[in-house]
Amino acid sequence: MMGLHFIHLFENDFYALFPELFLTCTTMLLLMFGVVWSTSKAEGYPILTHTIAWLSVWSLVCAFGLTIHSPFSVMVSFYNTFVIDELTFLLKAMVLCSATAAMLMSMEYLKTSMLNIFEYSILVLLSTISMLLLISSYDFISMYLAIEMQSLCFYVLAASKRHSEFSTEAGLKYFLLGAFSSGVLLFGCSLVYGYTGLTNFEDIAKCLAGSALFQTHHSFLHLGMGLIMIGFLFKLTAAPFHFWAPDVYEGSPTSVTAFFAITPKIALLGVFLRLLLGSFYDLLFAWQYVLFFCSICSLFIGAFGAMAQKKIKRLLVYSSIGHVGYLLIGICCGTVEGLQAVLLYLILYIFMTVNVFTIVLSCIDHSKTFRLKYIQDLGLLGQTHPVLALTFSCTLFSMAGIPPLAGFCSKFYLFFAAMGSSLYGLALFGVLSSVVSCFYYIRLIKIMYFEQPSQLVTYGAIDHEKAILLGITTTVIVFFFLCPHSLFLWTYKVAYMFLG
Amino acid sequence: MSATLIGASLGFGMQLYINALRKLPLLRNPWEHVFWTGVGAAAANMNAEWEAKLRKEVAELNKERQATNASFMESILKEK
Amino acid sequence: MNLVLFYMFASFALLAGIMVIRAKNPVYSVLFLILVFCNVSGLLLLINLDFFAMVFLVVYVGAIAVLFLFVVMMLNVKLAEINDSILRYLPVGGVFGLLFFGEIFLLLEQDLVPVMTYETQSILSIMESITMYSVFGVLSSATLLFSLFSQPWNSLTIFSQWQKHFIQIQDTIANYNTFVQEQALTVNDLEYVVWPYTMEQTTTIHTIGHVVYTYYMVFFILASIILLIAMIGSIVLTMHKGVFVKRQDVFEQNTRDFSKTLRKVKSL
Repeated sequence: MMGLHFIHLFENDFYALFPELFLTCTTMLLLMFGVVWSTSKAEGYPILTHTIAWLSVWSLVCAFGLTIHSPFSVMVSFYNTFVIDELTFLLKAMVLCSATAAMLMSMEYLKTSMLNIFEYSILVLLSTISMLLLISSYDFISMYLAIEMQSLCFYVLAASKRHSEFSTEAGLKYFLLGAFSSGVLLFGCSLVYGYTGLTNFEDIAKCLAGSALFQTHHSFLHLGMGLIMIGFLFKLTAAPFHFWAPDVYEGSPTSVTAFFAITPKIALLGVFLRLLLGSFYDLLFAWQYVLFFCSICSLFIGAFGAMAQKKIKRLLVYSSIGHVGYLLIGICCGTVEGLQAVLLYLILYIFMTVNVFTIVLSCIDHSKTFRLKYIQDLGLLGQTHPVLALTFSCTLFSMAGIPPLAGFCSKFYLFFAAMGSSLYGLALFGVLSSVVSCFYYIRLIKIMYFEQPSQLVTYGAIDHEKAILLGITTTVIVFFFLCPHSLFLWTYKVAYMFLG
Repeated sequence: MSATLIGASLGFGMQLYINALRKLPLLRNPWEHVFWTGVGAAAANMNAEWEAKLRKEVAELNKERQATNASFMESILKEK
Repeated sequence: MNLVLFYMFASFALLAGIMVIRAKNPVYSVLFLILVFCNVSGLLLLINLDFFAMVFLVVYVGAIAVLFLFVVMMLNVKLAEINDSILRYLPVGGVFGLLFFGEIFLLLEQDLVPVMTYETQSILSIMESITMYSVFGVLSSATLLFSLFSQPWNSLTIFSQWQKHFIQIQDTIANYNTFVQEQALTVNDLEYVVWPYTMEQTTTIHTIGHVVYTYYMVFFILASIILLIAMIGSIVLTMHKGVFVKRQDVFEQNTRDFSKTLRKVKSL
């Protein structure tokens, strides 16, 4: 009785979400292709892992092209549930680039680790779609649906190595903690809806506009907002909600850990920024305390937690917890400069993490049985693989924040922004934790150049895709200081258009 | 002009680095050197263009921001 | 009537909830949980949320309680002894209980946006229309059967009369809800629209469908993709395909050059 009269409302909206639509259709096609071919007796049950992986890389590149050449620069679509603006452009470009990098990194891992399931690439594509939808979501419901979609893909990916108990344990832990944090997030959303009667981010911002002036007792709203923040901090692996991260990241297959460490942080941080600095901006003095506390905890645990680790993946997890602490400093500021620092730090963090995980994935021996697991296995890398050791050293120096590498520029901006918002304690703590974390980064370099591994291994050749990834990321990390203007200007423009 | 030179040398150097990483002789597959030189030069040029465009936009935004701040300060001072 | 039903449902729900924790057999616990769900569904019907109550039953009893039952039966949980260990958990459990209790007090003092913001006149609630239909159904079927048995030669006329009565009852129930009032008012030659009388009432499920499949269709499609991911996940994690098969990359094997396969790393 209604007919499709409403469809003229959505005439232009399909153009707005065109990259996501394209990726969804491609994923369905690849899934059907994989299922039909890999179960056909006539073809001999081929293992289509490599084929579908390369096809998915190509579809991600095409989606990247579609995102860059989107016909709209600012738009609200699908009845106020999705938004496109400068911030989504930056974050979507980063998500697609990092997903492509993660897929390229895992090509050789998929071949040699007998992970003969083509659904790996399908799940990576589906989680990328969900992350793109999450970045442009403008409503609590679309945000929650996108978060659940992404989390489901990750639960399966974490547990995908079926004959390894480690992997099953990681998947189960991730599922339990992810479901719990989604529950807390949804509870917070329902409380905010009960208090304001609105689910759209912009409507809530308008509803709460200027409420900081009136000293009304907003206890319910604070509770809802606090619960939403706790849900997000769980998913971002910020301390004190980080306890699931080391076990999950260590137990998953290494290429999946790389994907975990690189991509979801961008999407979750994007929607976190939209919530805190957009909808709940007037409650800044309430949520600043929470982020202050969490940032200090994350910096502390990131600095001291990694010292006792003997496995390289756990060390990288703790260092990423520290990096999340730095990102939270930037959000705490609540100013345009703070947002600019966060975005800059995020971009450079992606480059550094891609570099580190590519190096970790490329240390396999000739017979493809021995993989880099313990820190001691890095011994004598300076002699067997001098260029790789030099690359690793550059990346570690950058992560520690030593000038003139890229990591120093991003931390510099962060501490300046923090001091500009009078968060002197936070800036001081950041500097001190940076100094302390230098210890375990430089210890890795020392092991590479001066120590012997437990068993003498000759590492095999790095394949072409990983070498190209290493080349691009190392060039950026080492030579960023010569021409940083374009990134500085871009992040400033995005931050000002979002917050100014 | 300088952007092209810097980009080309960065691209060439990157391919040398990639060959060193894979433990191949540095000038193996010389067509790849040409490819990455071209890519580097193109990327540096695009970066220079993008930076100029961004500089203009950010200058406008800064003007607008300073104008808003100045008018706010005036309104505060006028009250007193 | 509503009050009596509320007290009945609420007390049964609380009782069943306590029995969930106190039952010795874990299967009994799950069955008491199903009883809790049914009672809460009745409570939802009392506040005119008819679709929500049905969905509650379908999702909670049909999916979640069945899942609990499967897990309990699969894990071979022995009958637990809970006689002596209750007091051990009193401190921590008491703290959590007090926290939740305090949260409910916070809730009662706040102004939440209410669900129904207006009371329209003389609209039959769901419970009343259900009672009217059921009473009519019982009485009319009783009289129908009695008259059929006593005068079987008049069955056609009896059936047509029964049908007419049924349609009459339906019309009265339907017309109870919509009453035609003046929708336009003319004062001083200006025509005003009297908005309260232009309202129509529809059922909950009609409204939800009206909105979900048109304005919010993206959510619907996203939910379907989530179900697809769940399907893919269960197949990936459990189906046994060729797991230990070794791959051959024929192109790589053919293009391998013997003179380049051995390299000197370093001379000592």
